[in-house]
Amino acid sequence: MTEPVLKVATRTPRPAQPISPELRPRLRTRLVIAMAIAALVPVAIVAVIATRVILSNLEAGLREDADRQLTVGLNLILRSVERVGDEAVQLSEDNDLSIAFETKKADPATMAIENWFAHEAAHVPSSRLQLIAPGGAVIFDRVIGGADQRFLNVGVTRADTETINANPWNRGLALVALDGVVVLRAISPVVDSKLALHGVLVLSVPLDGDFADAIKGALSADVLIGGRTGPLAVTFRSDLGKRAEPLALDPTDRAQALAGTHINKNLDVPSGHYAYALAALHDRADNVLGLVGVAVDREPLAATQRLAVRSLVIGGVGALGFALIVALFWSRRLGRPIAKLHRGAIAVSRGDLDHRIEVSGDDELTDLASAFNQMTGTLKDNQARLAARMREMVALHDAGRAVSSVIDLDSVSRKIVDAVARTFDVQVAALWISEGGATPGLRASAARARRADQASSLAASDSLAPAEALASIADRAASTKQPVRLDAVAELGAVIALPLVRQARVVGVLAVARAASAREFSEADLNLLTTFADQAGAAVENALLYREVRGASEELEKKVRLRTAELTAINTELGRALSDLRETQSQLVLSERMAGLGLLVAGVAHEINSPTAAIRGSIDGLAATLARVAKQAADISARAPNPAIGSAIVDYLAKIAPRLAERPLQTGVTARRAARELTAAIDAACAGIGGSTIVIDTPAIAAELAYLGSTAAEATALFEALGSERHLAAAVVATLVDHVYLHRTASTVGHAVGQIQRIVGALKSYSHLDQQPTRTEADLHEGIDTTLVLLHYALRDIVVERDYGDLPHVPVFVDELNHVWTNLISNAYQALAGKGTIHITTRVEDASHGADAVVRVIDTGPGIDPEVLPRIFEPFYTTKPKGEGTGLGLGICRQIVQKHGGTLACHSEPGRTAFEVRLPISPRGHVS
Amino acid sequence: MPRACGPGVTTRWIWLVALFAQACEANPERLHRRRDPGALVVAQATGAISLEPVRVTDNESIEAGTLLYEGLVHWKPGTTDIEPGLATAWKTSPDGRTWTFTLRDHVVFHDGTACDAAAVVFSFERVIDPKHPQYIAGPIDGTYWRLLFKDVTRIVAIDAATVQIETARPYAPLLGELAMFPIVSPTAVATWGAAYRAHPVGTGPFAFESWVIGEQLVVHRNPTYWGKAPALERIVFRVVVDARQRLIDLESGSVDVATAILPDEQTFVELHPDLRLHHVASNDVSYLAFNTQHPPFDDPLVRRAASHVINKEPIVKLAYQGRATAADGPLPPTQWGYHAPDVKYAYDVALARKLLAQSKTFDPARVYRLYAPTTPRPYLAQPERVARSLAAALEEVGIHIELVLQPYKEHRLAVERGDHDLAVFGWIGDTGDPDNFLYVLFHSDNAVVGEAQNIAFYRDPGVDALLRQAQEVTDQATRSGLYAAVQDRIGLAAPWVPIAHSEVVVAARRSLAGVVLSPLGHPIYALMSRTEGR
Repeated sequence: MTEPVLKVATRTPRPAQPISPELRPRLRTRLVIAMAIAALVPVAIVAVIATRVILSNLEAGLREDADRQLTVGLNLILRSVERVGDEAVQLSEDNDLSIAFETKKADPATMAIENWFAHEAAHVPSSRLQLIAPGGAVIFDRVIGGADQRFLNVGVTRADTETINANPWNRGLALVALDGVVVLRAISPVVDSKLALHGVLVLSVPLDGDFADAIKGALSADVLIGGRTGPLAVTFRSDLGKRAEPLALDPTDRAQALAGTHINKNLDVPSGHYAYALAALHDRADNVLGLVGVAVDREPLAATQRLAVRSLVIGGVGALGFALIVALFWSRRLGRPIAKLHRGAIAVSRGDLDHRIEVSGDDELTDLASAFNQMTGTLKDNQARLAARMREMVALHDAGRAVSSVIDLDSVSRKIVDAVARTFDVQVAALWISEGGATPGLRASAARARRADQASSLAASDSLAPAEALASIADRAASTKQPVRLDAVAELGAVIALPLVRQARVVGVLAVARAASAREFSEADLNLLTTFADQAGAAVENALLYREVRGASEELEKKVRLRTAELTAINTELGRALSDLRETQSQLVLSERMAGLGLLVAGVAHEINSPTAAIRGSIDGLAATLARVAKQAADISARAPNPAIGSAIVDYLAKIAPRLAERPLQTGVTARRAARELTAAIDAACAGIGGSTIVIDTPAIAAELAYLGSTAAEATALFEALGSERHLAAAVVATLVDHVYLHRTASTVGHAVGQIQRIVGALKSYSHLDQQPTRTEADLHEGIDTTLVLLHYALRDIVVERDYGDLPHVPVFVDELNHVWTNLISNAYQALAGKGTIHITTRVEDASHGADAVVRVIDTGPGIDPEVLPRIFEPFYTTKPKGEGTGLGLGICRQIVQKHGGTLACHSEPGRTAFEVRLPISPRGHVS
Repeated sequence: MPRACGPGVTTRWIWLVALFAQACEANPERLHRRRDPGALVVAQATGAISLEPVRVTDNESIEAGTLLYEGLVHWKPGTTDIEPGLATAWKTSPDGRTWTFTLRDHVVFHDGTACDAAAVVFSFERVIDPKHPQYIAGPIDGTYWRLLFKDVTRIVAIDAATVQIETARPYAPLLGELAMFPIVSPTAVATWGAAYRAHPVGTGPFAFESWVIGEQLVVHRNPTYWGKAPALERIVFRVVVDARQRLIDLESGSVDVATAILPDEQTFVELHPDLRLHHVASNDVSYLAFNTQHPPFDDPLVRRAASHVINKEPIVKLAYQGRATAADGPLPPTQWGYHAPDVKYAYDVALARKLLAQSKTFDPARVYRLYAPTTPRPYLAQPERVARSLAAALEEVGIHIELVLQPYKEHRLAVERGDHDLAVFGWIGDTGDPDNFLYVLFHSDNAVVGEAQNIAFYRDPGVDALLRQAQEVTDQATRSGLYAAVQDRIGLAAPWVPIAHSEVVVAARRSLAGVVLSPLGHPIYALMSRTEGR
């Protein structure tokens, strides 16, 4: 009994979770994703911002670097310029030089200056050194640093020396634009210590590519330098170390730069990518002479940029990776206790309420685990209580079912007592039934008591003794219709007595007693017992009712048996009468068939009489003709000397006679005309043959032949066959006439015999003597035609019009149906009284039950009297004079048609009476 | 553990977001130039010593004073001509001893107090009246002004807008001196006491902002200035001791103006496309003085002969790097009252010899001592070299020279004592009045052995009379005539060989507009405007 209870409790054992607790990917995945996003978003933001800042800083830095380099470059250039100036001053103030001047005034360009130059000018940067005497003459002109092409055109000219001489004390630096090249001039008067003037020293340096190279060396950036016009000399080098072509500057940039604006732009030339800055170069008088620029290679900065971006990317990926690892670690740590909980939940769901989760740590999950354990414990207690209650209920239910399953009052009582005793663990259980009738009151019906020595089960006993102790309590319950509950009755203990009430009527009382030592009745017991009492009451009532019903039904059965015997006797008599009836009916059918046969025989006799007479007549003629033919043949052979001719004649006869026999005989005008043509033909034939002088009666022969219907050619053939023996012609023609006659007669006889055969065949067919009395697929038209053949004689003056549709074969009893056709057609011609038309039409027509084959026989007779019309199908009704008809014709016809499942109907009006036979194409008729 | 993370995570997020916001906001441009675009930065070799204007005589302090303070009258920018300042008008009494100034209305000091007659009187009295509570005592402080104002006997406020100055005798140069004399806020002086030197309050176009002595002085535009408001919002005077560094800063744009540019660097500045060298004739003169008390230089013939052998052009071109003009008299041409002398001493060695031959006292056998400083002076960048060239020139005509070269301090004491036969020296005028040159350098009053400014010990009663008279008349035209007469007499007597008037050089960014230098060599900042970096 415990198993079903458990089944109820774990009614929906869910399929085990598809994910094993160890893997737990969902929670962990979510955790990992969340933490990765938490890392990725700031990393991405930081990376983007940092990249932005770095890139913009780098770009700005590049520009600024170019600007700064320009500042430095300008500084370097100007320092170089300054240095040239300083050198010029130093050289010019050199004592040795002034001494050289003083001592060799007459010839300044002598060894003294050469010596000075050799000593002092060695450390001077590459330039062109010129010394100008106070008179303006250039007395010394050397290129320092070798004879370089650069310096050829940069020296002072005559005009320059004049300018210089005008103010010999002017010391200074000047930038002079010469042919697109800016030339630096450092001018310094050559003086002695007392500032006495000896001449002027000029150092000229072109600020060209080589100059720029020198700057580049110190600057570590490329330098651009040039005049106001023309391309700028550059220090860019190709990979092979060759100086790049001078840079042609954008005119706008040049104009701006010359106007004093700093240009700072990107420059892309074949030798590389640069950021360059341009500034104007001017002399001391602020005249703009040219442009100076510095180009910073963008490549190192671009590399830095790439490095920065790469570092950011690597850093970002690293951070992300670290975040993922941390996320995995944390998710694993978080996942483990959850997995434990999950296992516990699965165990509980499987019914293992003893499962406990190991509790460790001090966090929410631990709290959760404790709560889970607590929940499991509570669940277990509840389940145990629930199971006990369920057990009782099921037991009670079973008891109720058991009680309901029997209807015998004693059995019901015993079962009730047994069930109560078993379910409620009581000492005593007893049941009383309310008795009606003369002495109403309670009657003990069943009781059970547990003997003292039997602790667990109640003794089955038919004794009602235990009930006696409880009888008074039961009476009380019955009278009050209320449950009586007593907790301590002497010797019995706790007692409950329950009235079994049905529709406000007490049908019995159920009482139980539990020993004082045992458990007291609980409220739940009382409720359960009350519920059971309802069922028990219903069962007791049913049992009482059943007892009454059984008595009544036995009475009824007896009456039915008597009535059935009477009915059986009557039935037997009825069966006998029915067989008599069927016999009479078949006799009637037979007599009607005989009447039809008589009619037929009369017609057949007449039919056969005619061909027979024809045969007799022919036979008479045949004998005489055969005799004559034999005589003629002998005559012709006798007269014909030439056997060849004889055989020719025979051949001719044999050939022509049957042909002529088929032609009609010619008489009158046509015969005479034919005879004339034949005469001419014969004459022509005879003339053609010639030779004979025998005169023959050509017109007579021709007339005979014409009578027979011979043609000119046939006649000519005859005479050709005869040849010279044309005198035999007449005889041959006579023989021919006989031959033709013979053939004709034979034909007539054949015809007559054929007719007889046909009639006999029709009879056979009509009577269907050779067919089984079963349905056969038959052509209805065949049956109608056969009937018409048989009735040919009777119908000789009647016009029969047949209008046949396309009927399929219909399964019918052919001979029986032929009676119908015979009857209908006979009635029609009788109605016509020998003059009129009979239409026979056949059609396939749709009907409610399928397709019907419909045959209508319509006559143009006076019609059937409307008063008679309803009765025409009645048996024995006839309008014919006595002896002409039995009155069964149409009735039997209707029966036959109905046997086929069809209908026979009649519509009549003067001039048109139609009988309609409908036969189902698919058989559904019945055989009676 | 998650419980512990909750608030911490939130805080970190907020912190992180704030950081991003900061990063997003950061303008890369700001990372590069951190200059206040409205501020002008001036790199100076040394800083101001004090902002108490009457206590100082150093150039930088005076320059700062010209921004913070104003006098009763002004110089017209770039000249020494007088125009109204805090006083809108003035007149002198017929005897020339009483000056009456009408003050400008509604002028306030930087501290908001009114600049009235009382303030003007206060400013004077604390310098010249020993009984004044804020009297500036001391052997050095205020002495210079007391010397200048030695003839001022009384100063009174007639009413709030009228001030009267009385002098012991008619004294025309007073106006030039008033142009320099700063009017201070009596309230501020009383409040700060001795600390006033670091908390100056005047009426100038710029007001004091901050000062780190020896490093940086900052002034800002005076919003209540009565005149045309300056374009510059702020001026930063930054001390950059190294001359080279000053130039580098200028070149890089971190400063806008650099003073005290070395002569060697000037070419660089001139050639540099971003820089400009501004120069103005300085109010100075360098000269070779003959000790007229020592024979043979008491003989004008000898002095004239010597004047003819000095070729000034090479000196100007070579020793001054061209940053000077050859002098033909004691007054620089930019000073009003300048007069081109009738007598000119052209470079003519032959004439010199001839003149020497006429001299009776000249002894070619003797050696004469020429004193010269070794320390460069503003008016003489290469004194030694100049001295040598002068000596060489004199040797040329047989005047034998022994150079006595010593540092400026010793040199000065020596020449004031009159030890020299000849001496190379110079003078910087500071009041913008011819009197400041001619009276100081040629009047017999100043030819006192031991404290002589007239180191030629030139004594000419006629010149003395003319100079005295020029001090007593106030009309500038009259005074100019008197000074012209003086210059002619001096030219004829030739106590000096005037050598050169130097030029003041200031390097500035080319983009700086409105650069005008005063004859004292200060840029006039009120007229300047910055266009770079805006």
